[in-house]
Amino acid sequence: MTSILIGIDSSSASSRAVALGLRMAVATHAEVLIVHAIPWSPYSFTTAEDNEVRASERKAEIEAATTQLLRPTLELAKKAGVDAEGIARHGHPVELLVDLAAERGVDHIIVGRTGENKMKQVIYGSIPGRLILNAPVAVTVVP
Amino acid sequence: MSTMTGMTAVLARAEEEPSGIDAAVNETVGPIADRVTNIVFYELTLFGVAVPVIVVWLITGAVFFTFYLGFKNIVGFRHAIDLVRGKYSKPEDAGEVSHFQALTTAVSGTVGLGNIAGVAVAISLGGPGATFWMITAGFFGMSLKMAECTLGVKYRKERADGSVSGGPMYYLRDGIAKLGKPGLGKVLAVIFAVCCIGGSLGGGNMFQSNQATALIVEVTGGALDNFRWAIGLVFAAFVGLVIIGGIKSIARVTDKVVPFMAAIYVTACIIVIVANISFVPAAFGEIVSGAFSPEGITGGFVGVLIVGFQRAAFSNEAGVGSASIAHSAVRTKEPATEGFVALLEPFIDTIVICTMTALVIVMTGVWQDQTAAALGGVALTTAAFQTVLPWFQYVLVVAVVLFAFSTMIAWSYYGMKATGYLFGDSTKAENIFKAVFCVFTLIGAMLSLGPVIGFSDSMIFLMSVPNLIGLYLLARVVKREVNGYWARVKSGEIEMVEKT
Repeated sequence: MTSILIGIDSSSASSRAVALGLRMAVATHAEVLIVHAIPWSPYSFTTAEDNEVRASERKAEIEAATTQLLRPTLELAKKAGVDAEGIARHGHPVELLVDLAAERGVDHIIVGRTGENKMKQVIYGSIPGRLILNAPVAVTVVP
Repeated sequence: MSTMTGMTAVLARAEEEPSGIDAAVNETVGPIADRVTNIVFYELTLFGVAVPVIVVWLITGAVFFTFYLGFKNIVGFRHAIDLVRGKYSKPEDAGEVSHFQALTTAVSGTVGLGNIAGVAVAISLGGPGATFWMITAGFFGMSLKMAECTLGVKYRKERADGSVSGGPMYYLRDGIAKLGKPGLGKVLAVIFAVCCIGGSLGGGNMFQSNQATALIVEVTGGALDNFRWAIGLVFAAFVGLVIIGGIKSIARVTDKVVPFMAAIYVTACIIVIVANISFVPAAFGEIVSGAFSPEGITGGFVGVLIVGFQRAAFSNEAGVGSASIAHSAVRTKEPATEGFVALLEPFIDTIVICTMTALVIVMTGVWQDQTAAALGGVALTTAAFQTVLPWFQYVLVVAVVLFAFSTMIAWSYYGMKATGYLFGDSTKAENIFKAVFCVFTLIGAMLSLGPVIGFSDSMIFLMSVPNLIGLYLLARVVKREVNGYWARVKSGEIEMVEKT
């Protein structure tokens, strides 16, 4: 059975990516993995006070991502009659999507074209751009 | 108090008769600070040399744990780096405090003026040979740090809201209770917490604001000498904004800039060393020969050894227990992992950064120059850098101020945790502590260095008394944790997480 990974955030492009992903899933009888990356790096510098409450903040962040983003998207999938699973995890968006795509052996990644500021794009390249360069499978970017 | 008086003499430059408010503060607080110093640094005369008992106490603990844990500071070094690089972190735990974050948070509390000013003090008192003993003490200190951080994670408290608190208070109380001596554990924990509050106000606060102020006065050509209180007020205001006002952005900015400044500092050291590359063998020669047969140093061999050990202990805080509080927040199921990571801390602090500073001071020869050597402290380090990089004093001022600031913030946290422990996490007590902390930032800037360094050393070293007693009592627990974990790493039961 083919599977499609949809990377989501709170942007409108992301909703269009979900819509496209679900249409494709219905057409090809694919299952869908919905992923939201909570931006985080193990190599950032933190204060002792940040560290103390990190565990509870992490829980709250995952909770928020689940209720605000994953659950509504999973509802949409259910309505469309698509088998879907959701994951909200901390990490770098590109690395997380690439790792999960490889780990779960998905066939296709779909993401929205997110609006990052120009400066960041010039320095680091856009997230979809880097995803295309690093992904093990085909990537569709929805404007 | 030969060490202390000697230090005061060396640092006499900073003691030019202050006037007005500054003088009044000196007269009231100075004698109290001196009395505390005299008690903590009780000296025994060994081989005709006055030896502070507390320094022997610390180094004995460090050597003991190095042997007792089977030189894990050497055999486990590579593993420690792999842990920091996240090679053993599970992806499901992403978002929790990483080993890297726990380590850098602790390091930002340790790397500070001890690395810049402390090394200069050591060399001006003990000659280049003091460097050798600083490095030696740093090497053994790695194992001590490993022991206290392993216990810190093992006995930390997780509250209902998921926040964690750890450190010597908790392992002294709960660890020793498990050995069937709950009363002793409680007493040691309370003594530790009280000393920790003192240490956070002294070495973690007054010493930092004092030296940062001294350098600002120095660089501005003494014009601000009568306005130390004003500089102190600015520091106190910024500290207050972060710890009382909860303006996290300031703390975050400092935490991001400090590693950057550390990199600049080490780069500058390398530049000075490369510029004097032909003196490197001679400098190492002086460091080694000065360690065993120093010339013209009070107390000879033992004198140098004590100076080196004392400055190293003040710099890397191994055995003091402070870092254990910062390391306890890491996410790990194995307390020993944080022990391995923690052994990198004295390595970075003492073996790398202190050695760099020492090489710069020894190679440029400024320590032999009477006028420069009389500067002592941070001014001597500045003079050494000036020989190669004339504009460097301005960079150094920024670095020193930032290091001092981040150390103050880190130690305010340690002091606050100790206060929280004593008063059952009462917010009121913690707020009173924060206010007192800011007042001490101001006092530190106004006092002359003599009483400040004495009081700071005393309080920090006092923490090691209950802490080390506890570590000895819990030594078997540490060994079981560390060796049990190490055996599973060796057998392959604990594997690296595959990274694609």
